[in-house]
Amino acid sequence: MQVGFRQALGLILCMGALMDGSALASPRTTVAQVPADKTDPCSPPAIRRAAAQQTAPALTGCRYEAVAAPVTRFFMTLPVARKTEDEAPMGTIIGQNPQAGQPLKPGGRLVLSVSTGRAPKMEDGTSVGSAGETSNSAGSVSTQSVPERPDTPIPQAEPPATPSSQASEVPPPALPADKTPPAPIENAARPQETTPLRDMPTHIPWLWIAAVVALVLFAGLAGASARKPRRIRGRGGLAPNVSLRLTPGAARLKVRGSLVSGRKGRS
Amino acid sequence: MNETINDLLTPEARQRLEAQVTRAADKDRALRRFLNGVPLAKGLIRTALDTALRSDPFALLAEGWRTSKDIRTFYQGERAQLGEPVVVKLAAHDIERDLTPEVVIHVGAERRFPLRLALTLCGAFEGVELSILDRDMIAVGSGRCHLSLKLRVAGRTLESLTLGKLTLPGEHRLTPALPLYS
Repeated sequence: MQVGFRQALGLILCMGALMDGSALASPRTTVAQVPADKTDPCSPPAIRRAAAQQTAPALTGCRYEAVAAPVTRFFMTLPVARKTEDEAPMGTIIGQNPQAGQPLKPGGRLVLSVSTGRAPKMEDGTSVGSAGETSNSAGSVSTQSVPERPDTPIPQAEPPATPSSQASEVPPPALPADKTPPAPIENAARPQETTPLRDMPTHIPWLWIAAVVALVLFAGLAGASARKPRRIRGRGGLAPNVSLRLTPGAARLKVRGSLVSGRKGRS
Repeated sequence: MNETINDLLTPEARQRLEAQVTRAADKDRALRRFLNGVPLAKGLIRTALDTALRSDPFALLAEGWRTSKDIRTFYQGERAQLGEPVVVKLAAHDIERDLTPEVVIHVGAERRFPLRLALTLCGAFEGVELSILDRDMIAVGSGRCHLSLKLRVAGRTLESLTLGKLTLPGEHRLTPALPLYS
């Protein structure tokens, strides 16, 4: 059993020597380790970069669901969504205020025009073919709600910029008005900055853990077999039966002369 | 009258015999290792020796009479009928018979440890009569017998233990009857 234990230990060490660290480590599962797409303005790093520069990110063309959370996190405010009839796919941001690159402080108001996926209708009931007319205008309104996001919290920290947009704006209930959030980038120790996934260890050596567990099991088995008493002949549950046997040999008769001295006869 | 060798041994003779057997067993390396591994086996040697010596000394020594050519010739000359006993008177003679002891241990299987020791049972007879019936020796009687037990190692006598001088009464029955060799 000791030989097997040594072989198992050698096998585990050889595995560790032959495999590099990337093979032994688990694949990186955190979002932070994925290389960021610098060209995608809808990605959270791009929004974070814009928040660091205190400028409005370029969100036109992005999905509202994808950018709502990063904008809320990095700008400390919920973007105000305006439902706008447009031919763009439902949920697509077709306009924003302020425009991309314009100054936007943390906690500032960011109004996003979100397409409902329907062409705008004129007063006579005909739909407008071009969506560009209403995409960048803050005055285009619609009373229809966004069907796929009925429970999306759309708070607002500031009163609406234009009276015409009140009809389509959803009142933001989340953030209190007197709360002044700190700057998103300057304060590095802010607890909202990190996500739970980032706090997790990036490399979990599952293979090493399995090898150590196997090693412990091998050691336990080897120890158990070593502690097992060797069966000694004559020791055990059976009581030994010891006896002395006398094996008789040939008889030797010594007599001087004839053995038969006399005949007593028949009785 | 049916006394065994164990009954004829005096306490002193028994102690000396046990010492010799234990010494012979201790010379066997395999047996010594076994006995060291089984502490109870040491105490069992004495019991085993007592059991082994519970045998009729005359039955052992009668082997000498069975093989005697003189007795066989005499019986054939008598031309005795079936069921008719013949009594023959023997001259003074000695009979020796070697007993080779071996320790037998049963632990599942049987293992034997022959001892390098020989017990020789010696009988000196004077005026002994044998009763023969149908070629079977049935009784020994009316005579004197001097029994002794010798301990020998490699042909050399270490001890000579006197079992006793017996005056045989009228008849000592041999049970079972011992047939004469033809």
